Order: sequence, then C-alpha cells, then structure tokens
Amino acid sequence: MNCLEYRRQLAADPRRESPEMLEHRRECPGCAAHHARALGFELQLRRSLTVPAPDGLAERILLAQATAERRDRGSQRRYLGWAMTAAVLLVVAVGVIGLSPGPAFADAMVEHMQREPESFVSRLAMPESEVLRRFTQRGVKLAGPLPPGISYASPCPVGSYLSVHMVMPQEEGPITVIYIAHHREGARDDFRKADVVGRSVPMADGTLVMMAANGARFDALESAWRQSLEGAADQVAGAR
Amino acid sequence: MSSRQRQFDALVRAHTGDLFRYAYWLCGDSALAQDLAQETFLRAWRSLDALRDTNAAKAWLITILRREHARLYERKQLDTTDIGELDLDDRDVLGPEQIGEDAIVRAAMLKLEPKYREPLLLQVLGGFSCEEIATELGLGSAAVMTQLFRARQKLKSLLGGERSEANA
Repeated sequence: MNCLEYRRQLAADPRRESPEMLEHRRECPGCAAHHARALGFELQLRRSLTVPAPDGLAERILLAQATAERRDRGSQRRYLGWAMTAAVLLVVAVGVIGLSPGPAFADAMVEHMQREPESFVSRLAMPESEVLRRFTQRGVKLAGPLPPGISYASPCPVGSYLSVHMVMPQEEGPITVIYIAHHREGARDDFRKADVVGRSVPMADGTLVMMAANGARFDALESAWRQSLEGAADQVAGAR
Repeated sequence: MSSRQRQFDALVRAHTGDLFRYAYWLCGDSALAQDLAQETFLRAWRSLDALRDTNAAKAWLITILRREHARLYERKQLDTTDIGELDLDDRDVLGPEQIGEDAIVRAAMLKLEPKYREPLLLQVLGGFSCEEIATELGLGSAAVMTQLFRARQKLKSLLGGERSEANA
C-alpha cells in the first residue's frame, strides 16, 4: 500500500483501518501524522454534529403514540359494539320471525359466525404468513396463493368440525369464509338464514362456506379459493 | 403494560436522540426534525412486529425516517436554514471557542450537498460501516467510499472558507 492509497481509504472511513493500512501507518511517519490529524478532525466533526435533542422529546413522542392508540381502540370498540348489536338482531330475527331453519350444517355455520362478532372488528389485511399458519394448524396444505384481503383468521372448532374461520372485507360488506377441514359436506349449495345468505362448496379435502349480507362476490371468491385450495386455475364457479 | 408497548417505550428512549439528530441534519430545521422523529416512531409502532432483531433497530428506524423525509420533500421544497436561526441549547456547557468552532462546522455541514451529507451523517452519527451505508442508500460500496472521501474534502474546503470569514 502506498501513501496515496492509504490516505484515500482513511478519508473514506477514518475510524476503521484494515490490517494493510495499519501496517503502512506503522512504517510511514508522514501517514501516521496524517492519521492523527484525521482522527482529530473526526472528533471535532462528531462533536459539532451531535446537536442536543430537545428536552422531553421522547416523552412527547410516547404521549402522541398513547393518544393515537387510545383513539384507535375507541373506534374499534364502537365498531365491535355495532357488530355485536347486528349479531344480536340477527339471532332475534331468526327466533322471532320464525324463518324456517335450513340444514344442520348451514345452521352451525351461521351460529358460529354470530358467536364471534369480534371477527368483524379489524378491516386491515393480516400478514399472509399468519393466515397460512392457521391452515397448517388444521393440517391443510394450500395448492395455490391465498386470496388477498383476509382481515381475520382463527382455527375454530365448529360443532364437531375443525375449521379455519376467516373474514374478508369487501365493498359490499364483510364476507365470512369458513373452511371446514377434512369434511366434504354434500353438494354445492346456496342457503339463506334470516339476513344471511350463504354458499357451501365441497373443495379439496374439505368444505368452503361463505356467508354475508350480500352474495354478489361469492362467485369470484369461490373461484379464488378453489385456486388456492386445489390449484385448478381453469375451474370457475358453476363449472362443476 | 403489554410487551409490545414496553418494547416501543425502550425503542423511543434509546433512539430519540439519534433520530432527532439525523433528521435535523437532513432538513436543517429543529421543529421539522422533531416532527420527523415523531412521525417515524408512530410509523414504527404500527409495524413493530416487523422488527425481529434489536441490533437492527437503529438502521430500521433510519430507513423509516429517510422515507418520511423523502415524502416531505416531495410535498414542498425545504428552505435552507440560516446558521443564525439555529438554537441548539449547548451554550452553557461549551466554551466560547468551542461554540465558535462548532458553529463554523455546522454551517459548513448545512452547505454540503445532500448526496455527500447523508452518507457522512450515517457514518459519523450512525456509526455505520461503508457496506451498511451502501445497503441503506441502495448504492455500491465503492460509490459510498468515493462519496465519503469527497464529502470530507468538500467539508474541509468549506471550513477553510468559513474560518476565513469568521476571522475577517
């Protein structure tokens, strides 16, 4: 290493010397003096740049975060209250209006959805890895990509069935999607329970159930979930 | 207090000073730097689960801060701060000579072009290596070394001019 090379490298990073630089400095008094001046400059530079942070800045940041957090929780509580009220009204509607109950399977799905109003609280998408973990817990291996926008996923028991209970917020309102693992429930079927419309579709090794106030998105979601569970891109809703 | 909240508290208390200083030298404005530091931490809170390695916390926060600063810059062109506007509250602990020298260095630093100033800040204040700076800035290591070399040359040149003016 020559002096020019040593000084170029030193100017790029004065606080880190390679073994080659160290060896050169020990043999070259000129570069040793240059090194001392460079470190002096670095000390001055660091001291000048270390401007003091304003008093109480960390506390003000923590206060802003706590305030934002309380505000967000307040919104969530209001939404949870609304969802619970809606669920209660739904149960009352079924009981009072006396709509005819459907098959036991569909009843169990609707009842389970109504028992988990907290599933509607968040509208933000969960990390895909978290949703995949729920399927793994149920021993279900996906054959394709997950449909996007799942805001809730929980490995719930539904009666005697093992399921992955999910919610997918849509423009028309949230859609509850329950995948019953390792159980194929009869044929593809559309059902209605009070204000809830639903669809049950045998898919892969289990049964996919979709429930919402509006079934407009069922075809598209059925197709997306079929790709995810069976990996069959060419099969679409109603093709079977 | 939840473990998530405790982690965030520790993060704020450990890195507020560094974040403020980095923001200050990016924008040259104390009030704006405080806003940038606060917004950086609020964004960090929302994605705290993404922080897996505590040793990477500082680099992670600086990445968020740089994005915030870039967004701010997209919205409006920031004015360059005049050295006379600086109020850095360290006059009670330093002697007059040091204060004068610091003022000269700070004024020169604010005159340095951002492409030289930023890697220098990451190295001097952040303590990052050339490789780490290259990763943060999306540049090659050789390019970062060249920028750091030139940054110091330009700073020394500016300091020569500032000192001459100060002594005149």
